[in-house]
Amino acid sequence: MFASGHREATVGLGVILVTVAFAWLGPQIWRADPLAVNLANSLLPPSAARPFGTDDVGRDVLARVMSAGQLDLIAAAAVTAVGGLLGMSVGLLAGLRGGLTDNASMRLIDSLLAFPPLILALAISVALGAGTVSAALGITISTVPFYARLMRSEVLRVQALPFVEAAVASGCQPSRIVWRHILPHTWQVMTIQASSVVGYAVLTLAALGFVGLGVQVPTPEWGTMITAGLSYVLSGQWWIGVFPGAMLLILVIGCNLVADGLGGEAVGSVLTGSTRNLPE
Amino acid sequence: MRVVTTGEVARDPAHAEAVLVVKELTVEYGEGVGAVVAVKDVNMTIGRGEKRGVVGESGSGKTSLARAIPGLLGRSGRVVGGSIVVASTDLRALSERASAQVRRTAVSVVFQDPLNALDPVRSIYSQVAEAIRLRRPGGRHLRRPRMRSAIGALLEECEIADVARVMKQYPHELSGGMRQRVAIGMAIAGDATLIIADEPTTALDVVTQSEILHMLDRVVSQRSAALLFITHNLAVVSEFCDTVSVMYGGRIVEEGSCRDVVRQPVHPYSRGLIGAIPTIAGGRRELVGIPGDPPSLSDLERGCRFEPRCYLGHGVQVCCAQVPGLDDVPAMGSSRSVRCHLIDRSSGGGLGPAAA
Amino acid sequence: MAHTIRARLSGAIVTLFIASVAVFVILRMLPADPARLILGPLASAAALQHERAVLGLNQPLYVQYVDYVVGFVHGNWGFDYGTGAPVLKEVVTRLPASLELGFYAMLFAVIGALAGAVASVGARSRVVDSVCRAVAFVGLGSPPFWIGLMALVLFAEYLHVLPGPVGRLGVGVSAPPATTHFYTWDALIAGQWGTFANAMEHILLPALTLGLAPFGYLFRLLRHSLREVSDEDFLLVCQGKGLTRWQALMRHGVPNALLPALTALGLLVAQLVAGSVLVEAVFNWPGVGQLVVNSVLAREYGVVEAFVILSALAFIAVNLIVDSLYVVIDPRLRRPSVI
Repeated sequence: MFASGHREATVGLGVILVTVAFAWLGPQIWRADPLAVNLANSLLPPSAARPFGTDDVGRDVLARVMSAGQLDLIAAAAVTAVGGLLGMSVGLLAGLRGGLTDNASMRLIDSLLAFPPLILALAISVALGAGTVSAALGITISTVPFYARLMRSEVLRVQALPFVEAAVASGCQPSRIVWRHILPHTWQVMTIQASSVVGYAVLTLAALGFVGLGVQVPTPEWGTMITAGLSYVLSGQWWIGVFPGAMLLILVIGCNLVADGLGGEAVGSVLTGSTRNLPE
Repeated sequence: MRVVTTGEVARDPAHAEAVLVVKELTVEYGEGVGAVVAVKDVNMTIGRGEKRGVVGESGSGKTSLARAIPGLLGRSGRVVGGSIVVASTDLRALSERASAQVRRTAVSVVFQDPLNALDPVRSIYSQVAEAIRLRRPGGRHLRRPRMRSAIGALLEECEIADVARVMKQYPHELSGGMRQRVAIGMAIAGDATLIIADEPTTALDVVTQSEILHMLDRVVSQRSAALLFITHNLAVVSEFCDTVSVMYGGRIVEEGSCRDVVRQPVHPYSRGLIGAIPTIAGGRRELVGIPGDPPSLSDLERGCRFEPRCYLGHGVQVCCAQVPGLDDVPAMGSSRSVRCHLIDRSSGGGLGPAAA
Repeated sequence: MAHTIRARLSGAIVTLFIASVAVFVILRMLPADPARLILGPLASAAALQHERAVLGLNQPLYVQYVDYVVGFVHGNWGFDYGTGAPVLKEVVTRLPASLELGFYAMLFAVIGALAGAVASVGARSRVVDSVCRAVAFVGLGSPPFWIGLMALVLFAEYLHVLPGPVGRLGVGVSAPPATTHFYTWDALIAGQWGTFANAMEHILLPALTLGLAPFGYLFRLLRHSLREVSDEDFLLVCQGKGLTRWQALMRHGVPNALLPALTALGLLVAQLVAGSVLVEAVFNWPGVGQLVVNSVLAREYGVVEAFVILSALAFIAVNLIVDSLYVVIDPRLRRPSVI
């Protein structure tokens, strides 16, 4: 199973790299301006001159999809990294300290888990005001519990392993035990979690854009582009919304393939192993 | 006790008493280049009331044999050749449904690991009741009070005390020994003529082991059913089996009556197995193991599988080049067959010429 | 057993308390001016002043918190400034539409995932397995409003087999007499077959769209646990008793595989609640989710606030029910092991 898993992860990584290349190398080749309005060219269907067509005010959809890709990927990477750092610190502290620290922080984490993740992100970005940064912040906070719960259980698991006990018994320094013996053994599970969080972040950013809270016009973002495309579905201009969604789908599938390939399905599939604590 | 061996059956068509006749059975796992031949050309006949032991190391194919007979090889394994005849029905020719019917009435299996042998979310009552409904003629129509007494009788026969309480319990509330007793109870719920026990006591502690073996021996004898007993423990076999087949690398390498084989093994591998048993009474002696590991069954078979580990045949040309046949050794008394090139068949089964 | 359930209940109450504090902190303390947040940018200074007084913003924090909770419990959720109706009333009117949609989405997710998992693991059908995995990947990998868009392009715009995004019923079809407030059920109760068919064809696409992510999630979960269970010895033992492989899987494998899936029910509800916000607006479905989107776009956050609290309540309640159910159903939790 592991062999085929590695292949899955490799394919997933390849898919992610392709979307990264599409977002950053693409504009080097396709030099249309994503923001240039040209009402004379509005709502043109895909053609050789404009592979993804143009939108309602004549902007080039391909250029916009690429530029949106940059924004989405950067936002997703930032959310994943910051949320991961916060969540893992909380989880590490809770797992190592135990007692009151553990109880208090896990209660707090549980209360965040009492909200459906998207709703929590939505509430926070409502409170902070619509915009890219506040949306990203809302999403980041909503990912903290995923990491924190998982990290805590991993720390508890690894701490009970014989080699950690041996290190403790031989008088190893606590900080050294954490860095050399505990953390390295949590990487695999954390990588799985991080790769599914990338997918979650992109999807949620798009969702907030749909609700009107995320990235504001005219900055291109996949979610808001799909939303804009919705109004043109029944009048036949399908290309405005279909292409950004397809790119989003490809990216998220890449992330989920990586998570699966590294053993996500066995560990407890995407985001779930950590969001709910199974009855013991 | 009449002992029927493969040699005889091959010559004698009138094996009316045979409960199980396996011919040229070959079992494979996987497909294509990576395919593993776990059982190769095994012949075996077991008569009514016979207790047959099958002995070998892990990887010798004995468990595959035990699972192939009732058709329970699972997802990756399959029978690729030969025939399995139980109660004069060829199981290989049957549909899934029909072979389930045979398992219901004629063949029962007891598996190795009692901890996983029972459905964790069903009570003991419901699981044994299911066995009775499936296996016993008319069991389908038993109403609750009569079903309870039927289950009670069955569990008591398996030496379970406090039957009423056990019935209400769930598998996780029972010890390993108790679970295995329940499993045996389900196996004898009907009147199976063949009971296959695949290392039923390996996972248990020694005291429970011997209690369960005696119980199994008793219930099988009372029903005069045939027993196919799979184990890696030759001492257990010598305790209560009539006949024994020693398996190595997917093939039977020696076969004969249990007493004879244990007292005077002929095949170098059997000798190694016997040499590896400590005795309590026999005074101090050095235990001799068998050097090396069991063969990889995905390799192509050239010559004798045991050759690389054999103290006699290692490097001998014929052993490397030619697969030995399983031939009778008349000089060894009643029906002994051995798969070895180096046996001098005329003179009492002595080993030669290389050994001489 | 009663003890375990009591423990779960008290745990849920603590979570509820902390969650209510979290809502208070997020929606009342994070924003610079909660009154502005609730009334929106166009509110007059007088209205803002009034709202601040109503919110009690000059009181000590704990008094504000208590007032806030008491107000919510009394149904004092503010007014929807678009329609002028109380938020409570607005939500209650729209709830049946959302519940009906959620019901069919859940139905599709559960039945589809179970059938798919049984076919791909039990019947070892490669085709079903590949199709279901692909659908699961799409369902989990794309936003529901994009799926809705694609479905509309394909079925309404291109194939013309299903109606476009016009809500619960076609133009000119009147709602059936209200009993359950589910149009499909009410139409059946009243025997209005035409209305039933119309309601069904209008709910089909939104329900499938909403159910796709839960389907994907549940299918993967069931497939995984069914594969694990089907390698267990006890299934072989059941076959040894004389069940066919299929019978053993259905009678003993599926119940065992369903148990872990039960804990995922809370997550499914969360997916449906979040999804309803993203799907209803696409299909013009007059439910709570659409109301939320409209309120956010209109910068009226009273509705959003109520929605956030309600969905947390629902989530906590479902998890509590599931945890308690689990204890009732799984004998290993009901009576802990003696060894």
